[in-house]
Amino acid sequence: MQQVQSTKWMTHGEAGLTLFFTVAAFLCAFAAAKALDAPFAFHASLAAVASGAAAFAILNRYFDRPAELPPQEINGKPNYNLGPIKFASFMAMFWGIAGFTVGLLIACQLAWPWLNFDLPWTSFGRLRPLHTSAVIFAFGGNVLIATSFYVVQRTCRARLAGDLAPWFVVLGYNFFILVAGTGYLLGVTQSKEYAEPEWYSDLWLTIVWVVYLLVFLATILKRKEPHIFVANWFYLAFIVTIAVLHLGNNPALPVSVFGSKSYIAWGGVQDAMFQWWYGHNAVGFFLTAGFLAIMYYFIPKRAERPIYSYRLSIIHFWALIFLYIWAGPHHLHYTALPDWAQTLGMTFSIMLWMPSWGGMINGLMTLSGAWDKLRTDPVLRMLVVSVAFYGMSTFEGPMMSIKVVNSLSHYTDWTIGHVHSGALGWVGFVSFGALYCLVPWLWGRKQLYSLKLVNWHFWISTIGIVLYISAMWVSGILQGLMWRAYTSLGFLEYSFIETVEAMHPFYIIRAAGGALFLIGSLIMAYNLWMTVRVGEVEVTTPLALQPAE
Amino acid sequence: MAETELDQVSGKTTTGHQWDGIKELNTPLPRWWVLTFYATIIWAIGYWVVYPAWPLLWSNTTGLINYSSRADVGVELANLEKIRGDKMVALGAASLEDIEKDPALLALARARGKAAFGDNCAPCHGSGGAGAKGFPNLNDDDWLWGGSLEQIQQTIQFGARSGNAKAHEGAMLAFGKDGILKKDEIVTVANYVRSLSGLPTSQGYNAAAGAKLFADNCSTCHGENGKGNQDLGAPDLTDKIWLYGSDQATVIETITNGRSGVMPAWVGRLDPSTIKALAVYVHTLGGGK
Amino acid sequence: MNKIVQIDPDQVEDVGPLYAARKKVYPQKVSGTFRRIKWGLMAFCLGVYYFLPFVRWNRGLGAPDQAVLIDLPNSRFYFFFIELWPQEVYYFTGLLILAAITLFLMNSVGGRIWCGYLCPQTVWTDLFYAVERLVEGDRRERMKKDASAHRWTLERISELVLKHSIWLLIAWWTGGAWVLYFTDAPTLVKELVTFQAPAIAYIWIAILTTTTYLLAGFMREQVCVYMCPWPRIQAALTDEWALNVTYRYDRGEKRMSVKKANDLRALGQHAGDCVDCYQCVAVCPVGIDIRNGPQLDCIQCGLCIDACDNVMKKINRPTRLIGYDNDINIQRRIEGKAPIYRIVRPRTIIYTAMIALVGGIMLYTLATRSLLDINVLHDRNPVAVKLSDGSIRNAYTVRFLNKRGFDRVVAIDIDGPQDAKLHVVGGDSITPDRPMIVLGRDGTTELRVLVTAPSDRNPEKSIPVKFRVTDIGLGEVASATDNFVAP
Repeated sequence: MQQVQSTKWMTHGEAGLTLFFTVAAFLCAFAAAKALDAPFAFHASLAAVASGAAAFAILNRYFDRPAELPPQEINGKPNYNLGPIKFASFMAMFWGIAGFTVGLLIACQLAWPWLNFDLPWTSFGRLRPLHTSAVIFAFGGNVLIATSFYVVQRTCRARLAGDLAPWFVVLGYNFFILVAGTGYLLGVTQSKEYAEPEWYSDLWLTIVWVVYLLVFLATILKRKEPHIFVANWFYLAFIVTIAVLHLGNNPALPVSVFGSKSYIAWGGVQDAMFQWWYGHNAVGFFLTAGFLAIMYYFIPKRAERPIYSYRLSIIHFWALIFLYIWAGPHHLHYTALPDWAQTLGMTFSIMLWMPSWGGMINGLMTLSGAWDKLRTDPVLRMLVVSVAFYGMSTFEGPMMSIKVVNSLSHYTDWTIGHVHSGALGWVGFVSFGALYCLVPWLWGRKQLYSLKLVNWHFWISTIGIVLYISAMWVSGILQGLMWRAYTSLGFLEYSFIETVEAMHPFYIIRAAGGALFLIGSLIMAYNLWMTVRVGEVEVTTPLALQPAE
Repeated sequence: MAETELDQVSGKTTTGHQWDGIKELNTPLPRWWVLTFYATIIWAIGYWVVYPAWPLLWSNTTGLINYSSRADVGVELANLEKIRGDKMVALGAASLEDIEKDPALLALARARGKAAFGDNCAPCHGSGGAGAKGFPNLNDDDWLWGGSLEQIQQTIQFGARSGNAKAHEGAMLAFGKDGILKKDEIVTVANYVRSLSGLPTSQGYNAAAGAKLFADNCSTCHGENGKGNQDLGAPDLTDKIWLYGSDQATVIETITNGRSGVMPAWVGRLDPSTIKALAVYVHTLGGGK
Repeated sequence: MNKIVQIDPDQVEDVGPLYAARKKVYPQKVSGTFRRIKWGLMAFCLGVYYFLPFVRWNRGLGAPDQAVLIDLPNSRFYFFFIELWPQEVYYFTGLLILAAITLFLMNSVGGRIWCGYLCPQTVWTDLFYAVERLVEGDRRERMKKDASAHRWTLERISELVLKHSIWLLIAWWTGGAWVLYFTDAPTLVKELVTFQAPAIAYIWIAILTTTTYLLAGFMREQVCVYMCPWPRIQAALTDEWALNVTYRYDRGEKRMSVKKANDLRALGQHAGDCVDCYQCVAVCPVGIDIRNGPQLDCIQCGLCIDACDNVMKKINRPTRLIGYDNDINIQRRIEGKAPIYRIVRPRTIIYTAMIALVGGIMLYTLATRSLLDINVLHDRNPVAVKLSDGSIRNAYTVRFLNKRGFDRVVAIDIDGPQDAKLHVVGGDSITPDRPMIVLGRDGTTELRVLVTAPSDRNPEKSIPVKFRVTDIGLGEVASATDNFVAP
């Protein structure tokens, strides 16, 4: 390419990151050579290769690019940065299918244990965190990063802050997923639910997350709109709180800087308390606040209706943020946790009911003028059903936090049913809806490849959810009843293995439900792929235009 | 600068803000929502007053009814004892044989015995009484000190070589260490002992010499035909069960150095009905006579 | 179509209160086909709910004789001839799935049939409205009384006290009936009256009295509009062929007076049938105007159909200006084509097939449900024991489940290892080779069972062993398979 300008300089970011990744590549190679255990050697080598590739990519891009960085605005219109969003959307779909597949496999393992194949890497114990992390952090996380980068740009009318930083966030985050996921398969875990990755993955995630926060904040700061849009409050709450939770739950001392094993700073019931403070707020701020942000942008956008109530959005936002952070102890009812902490966990969970429903009311009432659209637009259908599931889960949650109910429901499959009505119904459907909207917008397509396929996806997945949650609810009741059955002399009537045998039919129904959900997502992946490949290009979009000067 | 607008569908006005085409209505909150929110808050405050709720500097608020989940467990355990009360009395009064004949008492004794076994006996005998080298398997039908209910109870109460006055005494002598038998004699008698249960003997082994050595040195305790003597804790050498091992080297080691494993006495440490339950439990593991 | 219009900012000085009360709805009395259907269904539903606990069903001595009973302390569920144990609650999964698909089917045939006629929220709210109307008078009177400046007269206060007392009575009865499903109803009624019932019964009655009173007396249509997920889900599940309560605007528009319409018709011109009498709005229990098209708030109770029909009869026009219909037919009529109704279409066929399939599986499992069962748990430590004669013994904990209401004698056999002997611990059987035991009625019996077999006849490390239990009298057989393991 001809260079018009005589002087072309590396930006601070390019120079700094090249240096950083070059040093990192050498340090990681050194760590790989000195590694005490094989998984650490593997991860260090992976990091060395990735760092080297990153340094090369930055240099390569520098030599190819024009002297000027992409402009902030073209012809007075913001020049939105869509590349990282496209990548995160693609990864979301990829990890989603991977996560659902592993979920189906472990569901089948519970029904037919020989599917563990007697291999350590394919055993339930290692695949289960792979499933949860893949769907929550890999699928959900990429959806959140993609949508947040999109929404913050559009609603601030400003190009995403930073040149390499957005790419650093999406690539760095997915590298974290890769290290965490392969770690689980190799047996690397710190055994904290939803916080399994070991110390070095945690450190890397901390760096990535801080950059994510800075990119997001800087974009908001340079906004062209006088006010901050409600979805951005929720995204910000999600990013900030996840950072705090991550740091609070993961302080650990590695046995050696050349080994994967570390020990957590917290001990005993304090560790349990930190763990569930983290665990519950991962639900509260990752799976609720973040996805409410998606709801606040994509539902009004798709329905072409104003948001139902501005006041409700303010009040339920602050109530939700303030109350959620207290509710963690309800995961530790009837344990060594002091009674007072259990009381607080339970009462704050009950007070959370209405703030949670504030979001549901705002989402659903926004549709009140566009009710007819539901019959024709399956994407809107998905979004609506997701909010309905959000409402059900946020009613069920406070109810299950009541100690008496919890004494029956805790440790049973009811919890699994509850989580999946939220995960499949709310998080899954709202993400699908958002991706169905986002992909045509990102790639400048007029519409989706096929609305009929969306309809099929919607129906197959909905029936899958019905099978899944009804099986798990009833299975939970069965467990609760059988565990509590006593003989006339006060001895347990059934042994644990008998309850496991009795649950066999439920496990099959659950696996069938999961299979349907997976099939739905495969249909979606095909549909999105075809949208990008053969979809009709929307000519009016200014994004496709080249800079005029 | 933003214009407030009227939404014709809902009859509400917008706030005048707009982001990427999205507007917001100024709808008031539904009153039921506010009232329900208040109600949950009031309920929570009430709950804090009644139950332990807030941490203080060195303790926490205890609440009006002095609730504690630990006290709850105590109440439940007391209830359990009440449920089992009559049967536990019956268990204490019944003879060991009668316990085994009454299905309800048997279940109670086995459940109690299993718990006590896990707490006290499992370190040596294993959680299911499978035993280990030197610690007898309580599931099989071979008994050092007798496998009847009374004999098992006796052994549990007083132990073996435990120092208790009523304990089982008698030990396997150290024939080699104490110079009673020479090395080659020990090998010969070891071969003889192994032959009693049909195990192969080594080459050049003199069967007649073995029999003589056995009759002279071992038969006092183990009996002329090696069937053992439960009064002395001398094991049956003709069966397939070996406490320390049946290979030649182990048998030679046993004869050379002797054996005197210890079982502690439990009388005084466990109450009589628990010992009774333990006896029934061990007896019904399968090997009881 | 832009639904948002610019207005003069000066007109909106008042941004309104932070929160707003519900706009009270005053449904007017109405009579007609759908009202009669609703009365009938209400009587049926409430009748079933209130009286079912008192229906008796003889299950033999010692067993509860209540037809429908959820016996939580003993983990048993009784439904007429069916008795379920906790390990059989998978029927409930089937019921949940059936319920979901039935809702789907209803929805695709006739819209929100559930919401309009069967949902407890609708049934009780309807009942509470009936009480309100009885005590306070019809729509106009109630509106006048609420709006009156001098409303706190003695008469008015006594009216309100009467209304709320009746509401509370109904609510209390609702809670009272609920607890009767969990224990022997006549006994509990006696205990409740003499204040000897357990505290938990009173607590549940209090909770349900409160919720019924609040939900049916005050929350009413707000439950459907704001809280319940089903209205939203059903809106997403429906399709264009589903019949919904619809204002046939092709016939109704343009609205005009009877006289004007007659004049136009005399001239051979089209005139709308709707006379804008607002009767459909007056009778609506959720306070909407059905003529505004499909709305989330509409529970499709059909009362506006009755109201409109009455008016149409009076003005000598055909009835069903409001009726069960869909947009497709309205469009067809506008185009001059005959309406078509497609109740049977792929969607409804698939739903029906799924209902038949799930229902069939449930019926089959229910019909072939075993009343005798056996669970076998192998000892884990030790897995196997070598005996002094060299033979092998495995020990098992065997649980027998007798789901019949009487004691019975069963024999136990095993298949598998060669020359195996069976011994039941604690059992003095007259037939030592084939142990026989007595199983107590409606309960489980746990036994320790020892299987001994010579090792030379059973050289494999692990041999499948089948435990078979046979009812000597009835011939019922159940079996379970485990392994016989060598040490």
